Amino acid sequence: MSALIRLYPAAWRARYGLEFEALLAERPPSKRDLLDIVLAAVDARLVPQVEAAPVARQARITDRLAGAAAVAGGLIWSATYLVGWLVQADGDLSLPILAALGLMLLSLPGTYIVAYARPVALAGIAVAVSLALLFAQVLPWDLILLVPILAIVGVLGPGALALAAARAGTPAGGRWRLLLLTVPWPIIGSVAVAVGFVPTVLPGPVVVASFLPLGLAWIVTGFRIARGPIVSMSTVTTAGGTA
Amino acid sequence: MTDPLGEIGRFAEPSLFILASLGEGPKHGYAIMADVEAISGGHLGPGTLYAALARLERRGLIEALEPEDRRRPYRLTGLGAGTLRTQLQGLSEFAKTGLQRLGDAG
Repeated sequence: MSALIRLYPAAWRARYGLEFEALLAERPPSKRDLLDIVLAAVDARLVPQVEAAPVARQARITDRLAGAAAVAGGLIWSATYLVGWLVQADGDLSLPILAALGLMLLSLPGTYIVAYARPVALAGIAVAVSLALLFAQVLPWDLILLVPILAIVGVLGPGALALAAARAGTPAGGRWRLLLLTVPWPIIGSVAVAVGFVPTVLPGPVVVASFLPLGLAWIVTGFRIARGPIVSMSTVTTAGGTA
Repeated sequence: MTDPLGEIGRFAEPSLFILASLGEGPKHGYAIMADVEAISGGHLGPGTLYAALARLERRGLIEALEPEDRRRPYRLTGLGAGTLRTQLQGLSEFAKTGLQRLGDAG
């Protein structure tokens, strides 16, 4: 029974879970009912009728570390392009750019932990993926290395985070915006560096104007992550709106 | 005036049955399900029941009472009773018209 109820979003379970479990205990579901429950659980995820109200909790060290990694990544990224443009000294900027991307990726498990307010197995996967990518970035880029890296970055990392977001259940606009901001950009950035699209030599004003917003966005995101969780399931309300 | 059941889409029909069931007094999930199956002659799955209950509660047509053990009874609100009455009067007019036409044709 509990496996069936876990198909529903967390906010729905918090509101209706106990009575639904009592109903299923009172009238064990037939095969037809099982299908009905699965379809209703999909509906509850697609058209949520119950929303969790955001509640405050103290930021944890995991939030702060993830936030610090995001801020550091954003600062290094921004400073690299700004200083490279202003100073115009000879040099290759690939190392600080890769370091910035690595820090951004390393902060992703933190966004997951923030979204869930609890570190579980998926956070471990996300940490492992980020660390593997960080390690891979210090090796020379070539096609043999590029393919598995892209597979890891493109599938496992965001996949774990997307699953994490889906499991969180209720729509929390802030969480989705945060994940949208933080998940695609390091992937795009890593791929762009790998294929040589992102200039790793001295930038001009157009390049700076193009790449500076990413760094600034990560600084803002890092401060948001460091403040603590975006949503908690401890307060659940039914909300008005359309079907 | 908007039709609260019309907004519910595919859950409108089970929702109407649930409102009709609660018309005689508060009931919890299992009792609603058994009663709806008795008055409709059809099957009401537990998933559909709670999808409809959530929509009815969200629109203020029913309200939850204090839980009794793990079971929670629901009852009609004033808006829910009004909506049920309007829906049933509409169906009654429809049935009357349909039967008259059938009689005329026969």
